[in-house]
Amino acid sequence: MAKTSKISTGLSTGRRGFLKGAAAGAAALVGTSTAGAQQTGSQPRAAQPPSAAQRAVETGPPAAVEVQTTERPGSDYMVDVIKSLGIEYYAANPSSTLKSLHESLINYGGNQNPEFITCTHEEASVALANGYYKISGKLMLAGLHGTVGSQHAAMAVYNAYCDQAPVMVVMGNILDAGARRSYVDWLHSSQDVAAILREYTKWDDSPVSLSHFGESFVRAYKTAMTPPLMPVALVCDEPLQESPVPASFDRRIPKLPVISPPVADPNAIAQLAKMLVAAESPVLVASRCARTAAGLKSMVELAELLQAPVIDQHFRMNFPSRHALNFSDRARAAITNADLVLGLEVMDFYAVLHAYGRERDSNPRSILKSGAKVVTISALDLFTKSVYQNFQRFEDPDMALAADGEATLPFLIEEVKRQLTADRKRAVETRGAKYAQAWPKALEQARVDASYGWDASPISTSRLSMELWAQLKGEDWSLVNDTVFLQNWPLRLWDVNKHYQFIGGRGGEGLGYGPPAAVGAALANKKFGRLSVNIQGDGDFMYCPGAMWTAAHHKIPLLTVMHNNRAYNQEVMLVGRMASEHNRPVDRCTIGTTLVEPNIDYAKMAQGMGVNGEGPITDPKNLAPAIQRGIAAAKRGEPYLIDVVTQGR
Amino acid sequence: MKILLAAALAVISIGICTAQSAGNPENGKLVFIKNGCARCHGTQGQGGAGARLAPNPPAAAALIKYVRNPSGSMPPYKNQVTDAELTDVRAYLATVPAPPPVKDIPPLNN
Repeated sequence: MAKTSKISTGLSTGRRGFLKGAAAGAAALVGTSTAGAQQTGSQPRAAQPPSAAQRAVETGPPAAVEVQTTERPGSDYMVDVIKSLGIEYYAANPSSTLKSLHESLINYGGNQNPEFITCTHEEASVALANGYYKISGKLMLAGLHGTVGSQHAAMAVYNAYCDQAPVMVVMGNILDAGARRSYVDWLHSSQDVAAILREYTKWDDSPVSLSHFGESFVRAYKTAMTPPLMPVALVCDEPLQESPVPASFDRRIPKLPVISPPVADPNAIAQLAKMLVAAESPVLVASRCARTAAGLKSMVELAELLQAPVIDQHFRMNFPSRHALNFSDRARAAITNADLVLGLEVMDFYAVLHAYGRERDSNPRSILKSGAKVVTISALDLFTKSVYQNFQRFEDPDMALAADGEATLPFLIEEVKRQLTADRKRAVETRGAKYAQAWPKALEQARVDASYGWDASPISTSRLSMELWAQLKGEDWSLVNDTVFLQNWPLRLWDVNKHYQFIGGRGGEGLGYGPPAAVGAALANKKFGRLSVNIQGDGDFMYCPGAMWTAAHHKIPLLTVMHNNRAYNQEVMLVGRMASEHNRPVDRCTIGTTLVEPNIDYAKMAQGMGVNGEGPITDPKNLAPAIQRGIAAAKRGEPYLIDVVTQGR
Repeated sequence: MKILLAAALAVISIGICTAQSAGNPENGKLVFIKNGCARCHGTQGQGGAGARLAPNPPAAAALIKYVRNPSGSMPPYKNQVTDAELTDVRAYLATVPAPPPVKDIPPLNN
């Protein structure tokens, strides 16, 4: 890389820029001189001897000219690299350490591919990218400003890391202390800014040249998009952005290879197929296995081939909600009856296979039948870190296939087909008939359960969910947030059968995810004309409400329905438990756990950010018309918020 | 006369006991909300994070026994609520009507 020189304005330039600038400066001096002469009088005057200053200009050594332009900054090349990968969006809060990249994106890059998505918090930027990936399957960039922006973003990066969601964060920094101009530059710089995120990113780098940047950017992209899918971080040094592209630099951009996800060893697949075919009661458990339409199709094919119950843990859309083999609501019955349990990208397999007693039970008991076998397929086996304990309790499997679940399924399906004999096919059909007979009863029971408290106010979560479903069912919809705090009613009673209809929630269970992730997912759904719906908890909303403004600003259609129980309800319950166990008053446990006095007016919050909103709705009879208005707005391309006052869960 | 008095006292006593065991539903609702029961079980005892309690709640004696020494994830309530208050809670839960049949709730039939 050519050396660059810093000048007093803080801009830097190389030798070519200096010479070009010097010429421009001289021309400016001449021009000024001429203009000055024209203004001094209307009458021609005799030639005057040159002044001392003029003599100095003519005869002295050339003065150092301050160069104030850099027309080919390094950040232009960075934009070339970003564009080469087809990245559609760059989500960021504006940043001084990324200002040159920012300017190159919007001017040199034309603010297209990627388009700048303005966020009001770095946590929102990363969560937005997380939600966007889960719908689009594409990687979004998130810009983080130095030490402070990276610390703001840390929670969302951890959520994405636990969620097996690839996101690339670009971290501004000024590594060269000599280039730091103010105390703020020092506060916002680090000798190793990526260290802030290193324990929960898959890879990071701090390029010191443009060629280094190009290579590392493509490497980062490839690393993030190769299962196990995870966030990566790339430091974007401010002087590197702002300095001109050296003349000697060939601007080469490394090419991105076709990425082939890791598939399990064929011998292990054959062995597993043998076990599955021989099993009398195989059960499939999936957390984050299906991430595409093809993955969902494979899940269904394997389950039907084996007539095996599936427990979908609802971190992705792994299995159709109304399939007769969906045992998500009957998980314990399925596991206790199983002689083989196959875990596919399972988050906490141990908890699936064990029963916990009271709180802080350190001796959970296995609920597996004696002799039952456990097998796992997970790409997470290929990449484990130590500090954060997201790897969960050791599940003690009989066989562990370190591979991507979705990519391995087609090979496993073929092997199962090959090994299924006529005898085993009859056994499979027999158990399938049994499950098919049980399914309508299970669905009817769920409907009966949903009917209790139907007319309650605050409104029951089942009523909220089913009033919404009644209006959505004819639309091409996408539920873009978690349902766990709603007792999972949508996944129990809605007909959810497409991969984009549910994307799970917060990977690391850290709040601040919902609103921005929903906006990111809705952004991805927009081009398909899908109706994005977010049933949004109030506590989570208050961490990142600014995402509503982002939706309004970028005209992202999204229907947000508040699950407003006016509390951090789980904590009300947990603190209440402590009071009970300590034999002290329970009625004081609303202190520090509720969001009342005053009640928060979410409709007004939305309105203040340019999003139409209504509520609070407390009478369940008012839900349907409000939802109809919300859907109409979203179909017009607008975000809309309905505040619904709800039961705790 | 003594026999009549004893009989009258017995009737009064039975009446008081019946009133006590029936409980006060209005107070029961207040106790149910104030002590956080509704946070897990729902304001109508319809269930949520906790089990469904209404309609058809357990008998007061069984409810009291369970609340003092619960199993599973239910926390124990030893002295935060009196037996009389729990009887009131039971009375409140007994007032919760059964939901309409599912077939009569259109949103549940989609």
